[in-house]
Amino acid sequence: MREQRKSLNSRYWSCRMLFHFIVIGGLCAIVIKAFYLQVIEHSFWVDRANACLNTRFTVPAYRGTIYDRQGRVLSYSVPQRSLYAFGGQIADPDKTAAVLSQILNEPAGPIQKKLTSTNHFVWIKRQLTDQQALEIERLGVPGLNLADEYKRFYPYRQVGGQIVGFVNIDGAGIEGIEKSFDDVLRGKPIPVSQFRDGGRKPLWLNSAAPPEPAESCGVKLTMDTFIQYVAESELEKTVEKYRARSAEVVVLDAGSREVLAMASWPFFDPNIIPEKKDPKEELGRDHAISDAFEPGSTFKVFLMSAALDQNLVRERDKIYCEAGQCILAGHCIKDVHAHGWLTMQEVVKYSSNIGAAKIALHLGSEKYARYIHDFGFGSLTGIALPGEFKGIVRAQKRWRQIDLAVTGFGQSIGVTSLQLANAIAVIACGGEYGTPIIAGNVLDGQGRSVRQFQSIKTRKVISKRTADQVRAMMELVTEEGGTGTHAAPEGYTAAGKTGTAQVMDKATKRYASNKYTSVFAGFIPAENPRLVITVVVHEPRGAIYGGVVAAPVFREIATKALPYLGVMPSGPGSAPSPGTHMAGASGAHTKQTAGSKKAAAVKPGVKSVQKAAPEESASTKSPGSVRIVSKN
Amino acid sequence: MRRGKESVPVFSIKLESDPGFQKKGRSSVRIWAWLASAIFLCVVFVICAVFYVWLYVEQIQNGYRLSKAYEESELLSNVQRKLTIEWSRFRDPQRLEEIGRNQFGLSPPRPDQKVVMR
Repeated sequence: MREQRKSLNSRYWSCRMLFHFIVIGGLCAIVIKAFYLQVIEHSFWVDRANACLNTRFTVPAYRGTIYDRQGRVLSYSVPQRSLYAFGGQIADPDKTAAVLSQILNEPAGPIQKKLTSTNHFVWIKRQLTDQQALEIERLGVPGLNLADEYKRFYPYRQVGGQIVGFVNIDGAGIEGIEKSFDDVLRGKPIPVSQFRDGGRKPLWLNSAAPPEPAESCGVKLTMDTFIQYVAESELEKTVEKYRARSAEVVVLDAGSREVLAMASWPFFDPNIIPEKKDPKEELGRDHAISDAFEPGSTFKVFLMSAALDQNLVRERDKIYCEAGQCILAGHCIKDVHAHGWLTMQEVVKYSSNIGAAKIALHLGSEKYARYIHDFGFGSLTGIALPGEFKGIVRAQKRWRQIDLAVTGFGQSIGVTSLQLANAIAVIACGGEYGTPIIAGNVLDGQGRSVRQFQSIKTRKVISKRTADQVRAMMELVTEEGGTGTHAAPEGYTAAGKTGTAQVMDKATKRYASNKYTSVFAGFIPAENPRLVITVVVHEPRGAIYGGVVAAPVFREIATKALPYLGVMPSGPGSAPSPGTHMAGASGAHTKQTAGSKKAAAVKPGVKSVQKAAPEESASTKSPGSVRIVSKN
Repeated sequence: MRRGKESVPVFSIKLESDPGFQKKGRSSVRIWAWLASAIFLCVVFVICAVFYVWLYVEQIQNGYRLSKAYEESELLSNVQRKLTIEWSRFRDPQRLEEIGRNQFGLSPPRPDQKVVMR
C-alpha cells in the first residue's frame, strides 16, 4: 500500500511536472510569438492592418475660376468621371467592348484592344458625360472603374476664347490666361486617410472634420464680356462682308490701360479641342499679340508726335507734297491724291505719304527710332499672356534713307495690334507710356482679392502739349474731309487715324499688288478719351481702305460700348439721332439733326513704294530737299 | 454555546451587552460595507464599461454618418458646380441674342425707339 502510494506520488509529480512544463512552455511559446508579431514584425502587420482598415483619398481642389471684370464666369472646373479598366481582368472583353461602344458612341475595336491590354491600368475614355457615367455604373462590370476627374468648361464659348486660353486633359494650362496663370489656378488636391470597415464602407474616425473640397485661387480679368462680344460680332460682320483672311480688334481703357476686349478672327472656342492637334494649326493663338503687320498710315501719328515733340515742325507749318509723286532716297513715293502744300494737320488728315516721308527724313533716324521704341514698338508690352511677339523694328544703325522715309508712313516696320493700341493710348493720355494689363486681380477661394495688378507708367514719351496737338490732328481725320469719317459715331467726337498697308508677298518678297491690311486706330471721346480701339482687317476684298473697312467697326464698337460704360453723348454733336425720345419731353420726338458726320467715302492715300528706275536713281533727291516752310 | 442551546431569540439579545456579538456584528458590517462598496464599484465599472461601449458605438455610428454626410456634401458641391456652369451658359450674350432674335423676334432698337435719360 505504501509502495503503491509512493509510485502514485512519483507519477503524480511526474505528470504535474509535465503539465507545468507544457503550460509554461505553451505560455513561453505564446509570449515568443507575441514578441515576434508585436516587435519584430510590427511594421509589417501595422501596414497590413492599415491596408485593410485605412484608405486614402484626395479631397479635390478645383482649378481656380477665371472671371471677367464684372464677375462673369469665363472658365470653370466641373467634376466629370473617367472610365478606366484593369487590363486583362475583364471576363468577356468582346461583349463588354460592344456594350461600351454603344454607350460611348465609339467603335468597339479600339475599346476591345484596351480591355485585352496587358497593362495593369488603362484609360478607356476620360471625362464622360453624366449619362454615360451612370450607364456604365449600372453595368457593374468587374474590372471597369470610374475615377473622379475635373473638366474645364468655358460657358461663353468663343467670347474671349483666345484670351482665356484652354487646358489639356490633365488640367494644365496650354494657352492664354490658363497658361500664364497656371501656377495660380492649378489646384493642389489634399490627400486624406480614412477608415473602412470589413465591407469597405467608409467611416470617418479622425478628430478633425473631413476637409471640404476647395477651389484654388482665381483670376479676375480686365476684359468685359459684353464689350468683347460686341467687338467679336462687329469684327465677324466685317470679315464676312469683305471676305477678309483674318482680323483683330483691341479695346483698351484709355486711362487704366486695361484691356476691355481683344478679339481675333477666326475665333476659337476653348470647349472644342481636337484630340489630335494639327501641328500647323494655331489653336487658340491670339493674333492680336502674336502677329505683326505693317501699320501703314496709322504710324504717321507717331512720326508727327516725334516731330512736334522735338519742335522740328509746328502744327501750321506747311510742307510741299510734290503733287502726288516724288523721288525720295532713291525711291518713288506716291500719294493717291495729289497734294501741293499741306499743313502738318493736313498731312495727317489727308494721309500724305510724301509729307510723312519728308518729315521722317527731316527728323532723322536716330531720333525717330528712339520715339518708336519709346512708344513701345519693337519690345514686348508685358501683357500677362503667352506668345507675345515684340514686333519687327530693325536696328537703327541698319536703317537706310529709304527705310527712314517709308517708316514715316508705316512700312518697313511690324507691329502687333496691341502695341498699336497701347501706343495710341500714349497720345490719348497726355504722352505717358503704360503697360497694358489683362489680369486685374488674383482672388482666393472665397473670392477675396489677394493681389491686384495695375498698369505701370514707365516713361513720358511726349509732352502733354504735343499729345494734345496730335490728338487735335487725329480728330480732324474723323471729321468731314478726313479719311476716317466712318469712325465717328453719332453724338461723340472721335480721334483716330486710318491705315491701308500693302502686304508683303512671302514668295516674291515684294509687296503684293492685291493684298492690303486695313487699319483704324483711335480713341473716343476725343476730348476726354475713355476707349482706345484698334481695328485691323487683313486682306479684305471689295474694299481695302482702313477708313472704309476698319473705321465702321470702330464706330459700331464705340456706339455700343460707350453707353454701356456710362459715357453718354455730349457736346454739339450729342443731339440724339432723329426720332430719339427724350425722357420727360412728353414723348415728343426730337427732330434735331445729329452731328454733321456724314459717311463720306473718302479714299485715303494708298502708299506705293517702288524701286526707282536706274535713270531715276541718278536724280535722287537728298534728304536736304525736304522743304518745310513755316506759315508764321 | 449555552446561549445557543437556550435558543434565545437573537433579537432579544441586548447587543450592547454582548461583546461577542458586538465583535461579530462589527465584522459583518465590515463585510456588508465591503460587499456594498464592491457592488457599487462593479456597478460603476459596468456603467462605465457600458458607457464606454456606447461611446465607442456612437463614435463608429457618427463616423459612418460623417462619412455619408461628407459624400452627400461632395455630391451637392458637384451639383452646385454644374448648376453654376449652366447659369453662366444662360448668360452667354451670343445665346441671349439668338433667343431674342429667333424666339422673340427682337432686334436692336431703331433711333426712334431709344429714350435718352437726362
